[in-house]
Amino acid sequence: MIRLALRTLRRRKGSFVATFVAMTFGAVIVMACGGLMETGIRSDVPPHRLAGAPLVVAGDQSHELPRQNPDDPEEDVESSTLVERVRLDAGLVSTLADVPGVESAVPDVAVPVLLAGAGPVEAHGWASAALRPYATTAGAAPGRGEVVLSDGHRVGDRVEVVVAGRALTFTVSGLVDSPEPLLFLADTDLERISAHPGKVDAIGLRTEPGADLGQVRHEVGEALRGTGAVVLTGDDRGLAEFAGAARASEDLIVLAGVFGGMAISIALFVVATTLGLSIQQRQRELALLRAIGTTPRQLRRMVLGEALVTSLFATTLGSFLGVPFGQWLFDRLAGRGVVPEAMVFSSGWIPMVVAVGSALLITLVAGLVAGHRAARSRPTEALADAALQRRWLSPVRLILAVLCFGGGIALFIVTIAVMTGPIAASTAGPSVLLWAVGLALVGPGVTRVLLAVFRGPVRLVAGVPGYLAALNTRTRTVRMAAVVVPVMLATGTATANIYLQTTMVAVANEAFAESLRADLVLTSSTGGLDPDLVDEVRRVPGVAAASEFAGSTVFVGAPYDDSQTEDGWPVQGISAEGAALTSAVRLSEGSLEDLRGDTVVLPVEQAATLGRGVGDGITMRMGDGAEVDVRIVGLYPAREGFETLLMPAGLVAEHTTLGLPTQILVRAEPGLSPAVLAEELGGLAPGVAVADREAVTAGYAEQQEIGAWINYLMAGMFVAYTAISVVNSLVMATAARRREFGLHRLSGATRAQVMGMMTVEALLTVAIGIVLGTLVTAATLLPFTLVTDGSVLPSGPVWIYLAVAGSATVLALGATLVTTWLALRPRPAEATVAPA
Amino acid sequence: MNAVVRVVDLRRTYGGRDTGVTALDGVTTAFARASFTAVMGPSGSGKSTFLHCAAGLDRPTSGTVLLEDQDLAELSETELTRLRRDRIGFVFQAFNLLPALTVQDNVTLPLRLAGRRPKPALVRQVLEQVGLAERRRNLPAELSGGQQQRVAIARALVTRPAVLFADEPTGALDTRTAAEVLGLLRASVDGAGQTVVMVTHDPVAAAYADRVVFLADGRLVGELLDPTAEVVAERMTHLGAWADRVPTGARR
Ligand SMILES: Nc1ncnc2c1ncn2[C@@H]1O[C@H](COP(=O)(O)OP(=O)(O)O)[C@@H](O)[C@H]1O
Ligand SMILES: [Mg+2]
Repeated sequence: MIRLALRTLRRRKGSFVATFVAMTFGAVIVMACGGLMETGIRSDVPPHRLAGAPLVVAGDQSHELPRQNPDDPEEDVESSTLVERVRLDAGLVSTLADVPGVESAVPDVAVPVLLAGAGPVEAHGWASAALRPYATTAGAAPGRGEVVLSDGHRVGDRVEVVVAGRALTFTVSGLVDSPEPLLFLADTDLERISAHPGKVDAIGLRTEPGADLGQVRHEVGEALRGTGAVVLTGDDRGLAEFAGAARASEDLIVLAGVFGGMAISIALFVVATTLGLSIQQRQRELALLRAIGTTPRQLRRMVLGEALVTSLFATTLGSFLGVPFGQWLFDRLAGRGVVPEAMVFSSGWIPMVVAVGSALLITLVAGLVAGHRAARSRPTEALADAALQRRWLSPVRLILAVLCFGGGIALFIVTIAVMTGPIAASTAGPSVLLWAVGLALVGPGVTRVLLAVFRGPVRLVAGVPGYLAALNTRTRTVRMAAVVVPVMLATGTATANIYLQTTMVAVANEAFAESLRADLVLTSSTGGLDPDLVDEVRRVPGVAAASEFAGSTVFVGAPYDDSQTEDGWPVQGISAEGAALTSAVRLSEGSLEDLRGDTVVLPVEQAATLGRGVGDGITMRMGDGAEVDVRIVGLYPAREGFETLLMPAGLVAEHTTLGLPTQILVRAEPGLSPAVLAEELGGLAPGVAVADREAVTAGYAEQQEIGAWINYLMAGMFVAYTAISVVNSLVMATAARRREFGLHRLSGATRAQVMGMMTVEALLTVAIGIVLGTLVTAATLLPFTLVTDGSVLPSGPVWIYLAVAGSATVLALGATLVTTWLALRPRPAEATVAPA
Repeated sequence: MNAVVRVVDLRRTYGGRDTGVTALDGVTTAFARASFTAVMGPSGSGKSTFLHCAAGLDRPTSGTVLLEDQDLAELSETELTRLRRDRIGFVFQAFNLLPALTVQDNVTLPLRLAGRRPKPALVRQVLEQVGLAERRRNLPAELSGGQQQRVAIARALVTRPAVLFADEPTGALDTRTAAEVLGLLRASVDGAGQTVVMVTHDPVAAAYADRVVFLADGRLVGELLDPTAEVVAERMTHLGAWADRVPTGARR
């Protein structure tokens, strides 16, 4: 049976190619997502500076969320990744040095500095140079007040190094060969400029010659028991070097999971549509087979077998192409700093198996559906004009459609009722698919209704071709629906995803602008600002108020916080002094003036969840995992979805990777132009930039765009995929009408009239597809926009919609007309005798 | 009578109860073994519908079809298909062959569908019977219309069916090639004792049969034994006139 199917494939090159392409690209996308996921799970970050240390000890970045009932063994333990670097006590170095098999234990501390003329670099202690090891190419080790650089200088040069907005001068004592710019100071000097004296970032261990690494690792593990530190080996060691790599790989897993799931659903959809269309076109052949004694089961197996064989080849090809494509995606992500560049993309046999497996599963499902259809073809259709299909709704389709719409409506309601703020976007992905699949299932019926609406005007406007097109589309509604569906999916996916992002960005930008009261913002090019700087700023004439600012993510340790997710709570560190003028937060209870020491201001809602009020104490787990008991000094009504905790800047900064406040928010005296004040503040400290409100909000918007960009990239991938299926199905559907075109020509239609007829048909198809796609988008975005900004329409330029609609039109017209033109090339008589 | 196919009170309506068309309106007849019967009637009289029902391609709305005493209504779709494959041969007016398969592959298709390996001798014999042994490696598109119909007959005969149904097998052919095809059918009846039921509206074609049954508006309206083209033509004209006189109310 399958042999028979494969023999007949030769005659069906067009639909075979279409199916093959749909399957291949589906596998490529699934495979790429699988590769990203494997990369995230492996999170291989080969060490650079620590390459010479076979073992690296670092803080454990993962932590467990508090449980509601710690005594309940049934309750799931949720774990999460800390965003700030978890540091180690310097005392641990000597402990580790004593572990048998350890030759030496060398602490590593990174301090971001600004090297005049070279830009931001990391400063490290000279002892840690032995961990790569870096050899001096010239000069000698740095002594006090001396520095060793990677390049661009000569021994004896004096260089200026800016640390947290303070300039220090060092003499170059030596040079090392390093692929990335680096700077080594004497260990005592480094300790002096470190924001975390007494703490180290990581400890590199060199083992004694001949020592068994596994054994030493075990011993080190024993020595670390109870310290919360972990031993890293191999390509995990880089995690100690690149702060944020752990978090990034977690984000990568989520990203890959979300888009991988979407990829599978869309691929299923596209493959099912393409297979369905190819079955539709083989109706006569299938009916003949039924008539001469092929059982429904045999037909099902034939269709399924053919699909599976095709899929096997397509998927094999796809999974090979998937590796470079995944690498390409990963490189884009790394280029934008979404994942650390040091991370290695790995796509091994697991994503391959997953891609091939899911592609075969997709084919199985799509093939079963198509086979079911094929088996239903009645043998008498072999005699009739089999291309004429009258069935436009089967009970199964109706039931499935109702289920899909039910799911869509449920998501709609859930989004409106339960979700707040940007989280509401998370239902959008499944929502698009549910509505699209639902509409696709009732596609012929919906197409019929819309056709009835469009047909009148078309006949009025488009003359003879319009008349012919109207007739064609009336009798061939089912066939037309098969082409409308991909257009709907493409426009729906594109507009829903793009406007989702533009709306999210707009909402976030608005919330940010609302929260920003400062006229000017000081930032440091090294990331951190000296804690004394804020006092200097306050002394500058014209400054009404100044507040430090540090952002991080914290968790509530106790009491149990029911509303806490594994993402924790964003926290803003601000200064009590000046906060009233620089922060937009207006307390409903308590005072910002009290935000000193170990204190916190909570959103009203959260305090209610915790059952605590002003004056009560709670335990916070800071960004680096440290537990701090804080007193609640105020409550404020937070904007939904943007709940943020407020704490003293010093407290927040102490528990960040940087260890310093990142910004100083400045309010000018009334009547004083911020521009004038900006000039004044600009000269205050080296490496410090002063930006006005516009620049700061623009900077924030740019940040948002980076986040949104990933989604554009992934959505773009899906849109491209669905666009391929639009072209596929239009080419297939049009090419199959060769005989009909010939008949039109024989009965006196000119080539131009046939082209005109097809233009009108294509436009009708696109118009219906766009209307349905818009419907999908509306159903998806409405709950989201209602929740986030209370409006019915998404925020974003209207040209995006027009561009999507325009592209769909161009694509559909192009695919249809080129195929029609090719089909019209043979003389009409030839075309009519050619096998359909 | 040794009837291979027997139909009793066959009715077939299309569409809904009120708006539907009655294509067959109580047809009862039988086809004897090794007989060649032509079914005639004006266009739209229900000939094709009759053939489809009798051959198990379509299910009648009511009435019985017995093939070698097997009631087709008792069979599931799959059983019916198997029966069609093994016991019934079929030739349509056109589109009989899978364009991607060679002559030989088309002919042996029913055997392969049954999971049987075609015996080369049998295949050769059947192809020789229709005079296409040399063309067995050709694709249908490389054959003339008459040759294609002969391939279709070979395919219908390859399973040695109890009965061969043909729906206007010469409808798309010129007189000379039509004669070849009809001669072939005649020969299969005379030589191998094949039972053949053929729908046609061509009196000349009908003259090849042993017996002609006439259909009009879904009813059996007459029968002729040992027909000649002239007699059939005369009856047809009469029938046409008769059909025209039927009040429209007869079509429900
Ligand atoms: N699939 C169908 N749906 C509706 N009516 C049909 C269908 N097939 C045939 N008919 C109607 O049934 C009647 C008999 O048709 P048919 O058996 O094809 O006639 P014949 O083969 O004698 O020309 C005609 O009136 C025809 O319109
Ligand atoms: Mg007919």
